[in-house]
Amino acid sequence: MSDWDWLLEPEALDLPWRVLMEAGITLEATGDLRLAASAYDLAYGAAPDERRVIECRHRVLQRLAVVEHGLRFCYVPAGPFTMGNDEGDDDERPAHRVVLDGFWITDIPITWASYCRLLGWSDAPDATPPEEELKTLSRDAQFSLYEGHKIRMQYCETGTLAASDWHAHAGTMPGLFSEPERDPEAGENNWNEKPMVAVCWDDGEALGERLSTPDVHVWLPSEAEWEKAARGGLRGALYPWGDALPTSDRCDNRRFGEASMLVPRALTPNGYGLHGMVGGVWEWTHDWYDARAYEHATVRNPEGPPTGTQKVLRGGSWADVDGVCTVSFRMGRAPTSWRTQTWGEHQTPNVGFRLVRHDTRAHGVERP
Amino acid sequence: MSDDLNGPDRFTKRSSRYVLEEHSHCEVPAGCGGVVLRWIEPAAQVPVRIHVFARRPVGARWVTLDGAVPESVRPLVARGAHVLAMALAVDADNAGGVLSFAMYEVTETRRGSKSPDGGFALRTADDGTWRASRVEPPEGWRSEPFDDGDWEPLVALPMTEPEGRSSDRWRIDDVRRQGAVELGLPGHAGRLWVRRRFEVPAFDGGAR
Repeated sequence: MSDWDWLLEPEALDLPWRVLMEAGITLEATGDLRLAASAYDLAYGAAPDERRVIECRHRVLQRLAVVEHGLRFCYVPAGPFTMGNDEGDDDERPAHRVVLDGFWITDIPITWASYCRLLGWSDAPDATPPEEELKTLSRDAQFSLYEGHKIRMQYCETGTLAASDWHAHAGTMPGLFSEPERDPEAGENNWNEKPMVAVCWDDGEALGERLSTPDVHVWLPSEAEWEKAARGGLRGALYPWGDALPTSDRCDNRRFGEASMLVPRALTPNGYGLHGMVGGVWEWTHDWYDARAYEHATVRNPEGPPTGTQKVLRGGSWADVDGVCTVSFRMGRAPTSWRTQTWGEHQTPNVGFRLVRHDTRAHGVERP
Repeated sequence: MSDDLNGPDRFTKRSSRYVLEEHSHCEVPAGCGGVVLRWIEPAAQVPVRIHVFARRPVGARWVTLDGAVPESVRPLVARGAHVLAMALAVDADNAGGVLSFAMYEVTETRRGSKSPDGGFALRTADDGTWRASRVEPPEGWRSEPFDDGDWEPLVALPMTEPEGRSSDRWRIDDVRRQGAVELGLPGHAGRLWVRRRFEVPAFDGGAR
């Protein structure tokens, strides 16, 4: 046990911000940035308007951010937070304290361009696996992959202002049907700014597996990790920024009629530097869905039930109303896969994912 | 905690306040075989589908709902009072009906969660509620408050049938299938401004 283990207990949420701030200053001076971040994060939760807390916390979190594989990972400090919402849907209750190890999470959902690059596929929009992998896929799987590309071609391209059916049916046959409406200022097509969509759960797991090393594990966030990241250090708020209803500078939602996504980095980030945690795309988590999960959740690093029929999605999307784009609203969807099924519940422009990173060199973390 | 959470459905997401819609690729851009998901809050608003045919609409903002052009043919409409407004024209040599309109609550895209009793619908009808002005109204006519007490009611007046196969043919037939009555002002030629106040009823908490 260390002198600072109390920072990682649920009761740390009850401590005065000055005590936590002092701890943070001491830890930062000794070079223990991760524990300093934990202390500053707790101080921020207790006093989110204290300027010095904001500055110290921001400085340490910036130093802990990592760029790896061309992805920016922001640090979410170890420590307790309150998960759930006693005023929300039945499955968001009871609000309860959870303690998590520190982790990193991508600042935006994974883009189509990043996905292809990191898996060694050809660039989007062709997005074809290497020959040796292609041979392992059935014709149905290849067809299903291609159909998913049609959705991605409409929604993931930076300059597209509105998806159109004809674009979907045309695939890569220019001129045969009308093109989608594009922003004339957008420049050349690129697929590296908007979230990849029509993503199945095992797409996220597959990418995490590819990026993992013996020391650094990458995978989909647990539901608890996702919610703590979304809260951005605030306590009891509905949204990553507080309780004010979503506005277009913070959240991409209520745009069903526009059939498009906004660029996440154009949205104001939350307290952990994460963009578009709510709205934009529903994001896969690692956990199976159980409406009663909170009644018997473990306190430390909960991983959800061992089995289920749906995986948890969080955050809401560009099409949804304000009430489901909160940090606590839970959604589930079957983890169907293009690799095994021709059509499935993943074939929607509302679903994407981001990845978390656990560096086991600092703390021992068992892979779920 | 609701009784639902004790049953086998605890492993499938359900919500007491929100309803998940799945819009197929035939209706919205979702790629072949795809769906667009949308959560709505039935207590606050209803998703509707608009079918409309106007013989000669005038301007890009020819139809508005509470002063604004609907975001799509499938908007969410808040419960409560609203006004529909349209700017039309009538050709002297085509004096048949000028307008048919239908808007109804969409429920077939809902999935899973309890769905309230739906049934909101608004259709053109010869009942005196579709009001028209032959002279350009003052500003503010597209929203409330506005007094259209001296406007005259549109009456049932069949539209001139379009020739052969055309998009007009398809659209007229589409609105007819929704049960809308074709309306107009017999003998009128020139501009026409139309208003219809309506109310989307309060949520009755209906459950299946």
